[in-house]
Amino acid sequence: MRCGPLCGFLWLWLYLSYVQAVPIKRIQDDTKTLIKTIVTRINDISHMQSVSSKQKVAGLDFIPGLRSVPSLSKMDQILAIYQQILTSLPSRNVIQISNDLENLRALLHLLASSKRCPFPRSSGQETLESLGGVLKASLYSMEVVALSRLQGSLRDMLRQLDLNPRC
Amino acid sequence: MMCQKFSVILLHWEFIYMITAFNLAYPITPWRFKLSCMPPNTTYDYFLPAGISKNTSNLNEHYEAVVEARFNSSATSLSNLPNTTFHCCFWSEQDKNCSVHADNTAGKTLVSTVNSLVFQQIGANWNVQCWMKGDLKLFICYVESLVKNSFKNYDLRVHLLYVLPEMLEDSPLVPKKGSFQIAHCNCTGRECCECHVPVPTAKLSYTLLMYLKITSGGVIFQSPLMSVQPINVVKPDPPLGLHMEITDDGNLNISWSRPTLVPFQLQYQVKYSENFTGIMREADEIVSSTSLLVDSVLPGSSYEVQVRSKRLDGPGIWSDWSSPHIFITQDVIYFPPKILTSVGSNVSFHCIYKNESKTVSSKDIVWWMNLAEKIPQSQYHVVSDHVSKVTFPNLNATKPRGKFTYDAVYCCSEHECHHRYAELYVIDTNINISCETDGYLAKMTCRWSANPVQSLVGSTLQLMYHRSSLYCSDIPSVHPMSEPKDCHLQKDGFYECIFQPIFLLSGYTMWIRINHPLGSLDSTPTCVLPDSVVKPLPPSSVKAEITVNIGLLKVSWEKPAFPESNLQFQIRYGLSGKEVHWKIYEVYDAKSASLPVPDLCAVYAVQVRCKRLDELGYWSDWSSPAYTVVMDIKVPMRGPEFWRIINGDITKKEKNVTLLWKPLMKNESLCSVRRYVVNHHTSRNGTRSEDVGNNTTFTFLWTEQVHTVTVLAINSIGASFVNFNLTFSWPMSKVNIVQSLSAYHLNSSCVILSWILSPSDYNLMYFIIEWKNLNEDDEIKWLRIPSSVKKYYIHDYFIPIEKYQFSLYPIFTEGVGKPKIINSFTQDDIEKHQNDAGLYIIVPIIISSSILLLGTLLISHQRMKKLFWEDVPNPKNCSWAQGLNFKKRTDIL
Repeated sequence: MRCGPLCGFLWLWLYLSYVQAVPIKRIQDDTKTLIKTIVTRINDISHMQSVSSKQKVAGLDFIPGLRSVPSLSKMDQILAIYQQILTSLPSRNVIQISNDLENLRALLHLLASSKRCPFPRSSGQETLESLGGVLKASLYSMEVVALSRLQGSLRDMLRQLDLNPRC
Repeated sequence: MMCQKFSVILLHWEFIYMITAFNLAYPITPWRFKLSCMPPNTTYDYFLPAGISKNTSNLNEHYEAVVEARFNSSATSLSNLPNTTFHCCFWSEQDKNCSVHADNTAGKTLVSTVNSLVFQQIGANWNVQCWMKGDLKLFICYVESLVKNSFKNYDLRVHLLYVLPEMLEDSPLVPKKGSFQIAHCNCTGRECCECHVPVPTAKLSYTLLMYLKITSGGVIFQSPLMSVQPINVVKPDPPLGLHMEITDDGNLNISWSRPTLVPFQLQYQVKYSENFTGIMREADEIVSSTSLLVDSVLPGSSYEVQVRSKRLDGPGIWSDWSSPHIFITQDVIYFPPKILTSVGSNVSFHCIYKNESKTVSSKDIVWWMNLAEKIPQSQYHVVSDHVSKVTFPNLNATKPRGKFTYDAVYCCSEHECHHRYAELYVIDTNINISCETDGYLAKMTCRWSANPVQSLVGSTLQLMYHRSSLYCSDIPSVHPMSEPKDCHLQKDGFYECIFQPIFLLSGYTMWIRINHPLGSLDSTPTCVLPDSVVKPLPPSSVKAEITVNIGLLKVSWEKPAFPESNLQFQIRYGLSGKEVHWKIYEVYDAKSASLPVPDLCAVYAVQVRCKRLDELGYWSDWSSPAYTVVMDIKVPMRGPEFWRIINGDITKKEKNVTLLWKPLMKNESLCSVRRYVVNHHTSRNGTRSEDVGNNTTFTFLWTEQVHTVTVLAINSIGASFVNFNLTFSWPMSKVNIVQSLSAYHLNSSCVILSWILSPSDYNLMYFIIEWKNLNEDDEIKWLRIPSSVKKYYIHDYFIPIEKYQFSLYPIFTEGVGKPKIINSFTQDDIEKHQNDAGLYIIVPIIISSSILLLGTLLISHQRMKKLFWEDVPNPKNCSWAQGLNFKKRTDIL
């Protein structure tokens, strides 16, 4: 019980020390550049280029949709879910993207810390429960839909970052 | 009364029985105890020594009445009692009172406490030792006849009867007679027996009830009931692997291994003796760890050590002593004996030196390196009377000498070194790690070379790394949570390690761990951010062209997909060929660039590469080369220079004029000529054009007094704007402004032509020089030269014996003037030049001859002088002149 506040303090201290060391402008620039990099990575995956954006895929509601996310914590939650989904996919293409998402989330934490925002660490664990059944039957759909929606979400985040998002 | 007394006694009996039953068995807390037996009806107090009364019994007076028996038999007579049941009791060194359990006639058990001395003197006595073996599987009881045993001369047979309950709670207070099991006992002659009771591991805490039945000399001795929890009498195995070494601090470290399978912590007893030149020193210490440090170790000493173990907390039995281990220290002790360190560090060696049974004073110790150089005394320190210390500051890497990869450090007396030495290994840990992230931002390759580090012989190298969440710390350090990375040796001597996939913005702190037989060293850690070491893919779709009308080299390309940050580009271009002399042009964050080039009609090879604009990372490789295509850029810069040959009779009115011109070069035509057009202008016919195609000659009929022609060059863009005109005019052909023309043959490849002009009112545009070899039917050669020139060097192949004709035509705006023609080189001038040349040779010869002559005269003059004055006598040699001073004026004179 006593570890909670202490760990929280240590976490905050760690991030604050980072913020002091790394200029906030660099963090912002790196965040945007990393988002663009992930978007381009998804574009470069061969089977993603031919996917139609008009056709909707049913039954994958647990994958976050293209909703606007004006807060940093919400962004982190969504990225945590995507990270969990990508980690569970066997495709080699997505391992690097999953790593990028981890870096991106760490950058969002730094941004939040610079704004003194409380920032609970999201796990995305609840999404995994829905994954099991779908994975076996619809691996391709999963990958395509997850990457498409991730790409959309990232583009939205890029816009939101320019608008100085809330905590 | 008697009844009452009997009732009271009976009650007491019942009470004693109950006590016996509940006091139950002899608890084996001391693991070594004694069993003593004597026949019944023996009066114990008969034997009691003075001062010890029977009142020492812990029972009541009633019991004393029951056991009043007289024991007056000797040991020998005891053996004559084969059917006698002896009363036995246990006692130990700690508690010498013996509790006798005796059955009375009513079958009840009675207990009395008697001093054990009684038994020792007349009874049957055995040593009993019971313990749980160190493997926790076997409970052992060892029975041995005491020296003072009346039955020690008889064969010994021992039976151990025991009960081990099934459940912990089942431990019966008094087990049933049939529930006892007989343990296997091995007897050795008449002296001893060993009984084994197997105990399951799960029952180590159960209470084991047992008693001994000893048969000797036909007499059966039955011990009282014993009880024990095997876990409380565990006798561990002796410690293993006893080892001694001298520590880096100069202490003797005695270490051993803990016996296995013991489920509790142990304490150890260490006894050691030190023998230094006959002087013994013994010590005995108890420790809870598996090592003991003995300080002040002495050179040339022998140490003998033994260790035993026992349960640390709770009851237990000391194990047997381990086998003695002997360690002999050398005459010279170095501590540490070997040092492994990195370049730039400071290290120290200590030494104690015993020379011929005497320890050398530390003040007399000197240090040598590799038996080659004496270490300066300033590096020595006296630590104590016998301990000397040498310090090596700021060490350089050890240079391997043959197979020796260390420096040998010797501790010596003034004139003698012991053959033993300390070893110093200094390893250069400055290993540079460089990393490069590929253009897809998905793989980071790190390379490092171990080649420069010679002192690494015998070591293995391993790249260790730690990944931080984001970025690098300002001062990278070796992190305790590190991972090894597989690296593969390449042909170029570099190790290559690949990280894939990567975390672009995580700091990878890396260092090389040098694993040496003496330990490990880490190189200086370096932190790499994969995003900062990107080598992008080269730009793609590179195109190069010379822009039409503008005339610039335009290069365009597509930037690689990664990185997303802004890029700078380098363009290198050069004339395509075997060896391209590249020129570099830089642009920032662009997709194309236009640059001026000297030759618009040449094929240029162009390559582009890129790098992050913030200078992080590496330049990409150059793109595949793109080549420009030569095509017309602009209209020809000018029309061709042309001249004419007039055929036929010059006096006739109509003449055939053949125009000839040199084809335009690419840099003049920009870049090709599709055709030439000759424009004619005459007063009668006006202007007309004739297309002559690609020909470079054109013949027309000159009929009018004045006929002007212009030759135009035409390419795909259009016709040349700047063109040469030539006007053929009869009147002008008589205008002569060239007064003289001279041709000087310089050598076979050059002729100087010079001329003198007379004043003229006509507008002189330029000259045409025409020459031809008259001896051969060569074509005429011509040159257009500016009007301001008065002298011209013609470069051609001229043979001096051949005859050449040189003509100089003045070209006026109004028409071609009268030429000056000469048919040979100007001879006078040549001769004059030759004479001049002769003068240049003769004058120096004359001057040098004159000097020679003058010199000769001077020498001759000296010789002549000597020759003529040789016979003149020296007045000093004459008799009359004796005593005269010729330097002094005298009256004689």
